[in-house]
Amino acid sequence: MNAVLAFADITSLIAFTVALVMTLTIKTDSPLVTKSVRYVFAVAMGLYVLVGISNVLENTGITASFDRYEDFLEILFMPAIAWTASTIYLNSQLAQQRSLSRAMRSQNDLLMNIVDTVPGGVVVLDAAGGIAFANQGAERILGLQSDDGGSLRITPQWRLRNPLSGATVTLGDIAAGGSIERRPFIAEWPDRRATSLTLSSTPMYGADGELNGSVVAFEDVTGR
Amino acid sequence: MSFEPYEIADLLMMLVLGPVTLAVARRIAPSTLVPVSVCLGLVFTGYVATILEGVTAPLFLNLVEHWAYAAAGIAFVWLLAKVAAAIGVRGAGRR
Repeated sequence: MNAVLAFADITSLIAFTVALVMTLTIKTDSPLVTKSVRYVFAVAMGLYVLVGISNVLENTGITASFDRYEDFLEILFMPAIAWTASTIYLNSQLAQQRSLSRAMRSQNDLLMNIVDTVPGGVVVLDAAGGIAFANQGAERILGLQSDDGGSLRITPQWRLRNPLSGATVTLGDIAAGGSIERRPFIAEWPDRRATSLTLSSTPMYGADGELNGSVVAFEDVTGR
Repeated sequence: MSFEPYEIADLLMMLVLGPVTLAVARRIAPSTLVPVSVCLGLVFTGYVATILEGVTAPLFLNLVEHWAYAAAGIAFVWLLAKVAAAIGVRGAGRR
C-alpha cells in the first residue's frame, strides 16, 4: 500500500515540479502573462511541490514531521489560482482597451490627414456658431489660430459679409441657417483686405433631432 | 470521525473560489475551461477525500487523495502546455 502511495506522491512531485518549471521558464510576449501572474501561479505550483516532498518523505518512511504543515500550505492554493485567473482577465481587458485606443488614434490620424489634404477650408460650427474644428485650409484662408488649449478662436476684427445684400453675417447665423450651397461671401479684415469666399454649409443633427451645428466648406475665390 | 479545521478551510476556499476561477477562465478563453475544470476538479477530489478519510474507508480514500493530487499535477502540466500554445511561446530554450 505504501509503495502505491509513494508512487502517487512521486508522480505528483514530478508533475508539479514540471508545472513549476514551465511556469517560470515559458517565454512569451503576451501582455496577459505579467511577472506577477507568473510568480503567483508559480507559488501555487510550488505549494504542491512542497506537499509532494512532504508526502514522499512520509510514505517512504523517512519522516512524517512535515505532514501537519500540508494543510497550511494548501490553504493558499485557491487564492493564488483565483488571483492568477482574475489578473489574466484584467490584463486581457486592458490589452483590448489599448488595442481599441490605438485603432481609434490611427483612424483619427487618417481622417485628419484627409481633411487637411482638402485644398479648401472646412470648419465645424457648434450650434452657437463657435468653431469646434477647422482644417489647415480653413486656418490659412480665414487666419484661424488654435490657442494653447487646442480650441480655436477667430481673429477678432474679422467679419463676413453677404455681397448681394451687403448684410454682415455671423457664424451663428450660418450655423442656424440650414443648408447653404456655394453662396458667395466676403471676409473683411480691419486693414480693408477682403477675401472672397464660396461657401457651403450643411447642418448636423444629433440622434434626438436637435441641431448640433454645421459643417461649413469654403474656398478662396479672390481674383477669380 | 476526525476533521482538521484546515482541511475544511481548504475545501471552503475551493467551493468559493473554484466557481469564480472557472467563470473567469471561460471569459479569458473558453478553450481553457476544460483543462482548468479538470485541474480544479482533481484538487477538489483530493480535498473531499482528505476530509472523508476521517469518516470512512480511510485506506481507500487516502489512496484517492494522493492519486488525485498526482493526476492534478499532470493536469496542470497539460493546462500550461495548452496556455503556452495559445499565447505563443517565444524562443523557447534559446537566448
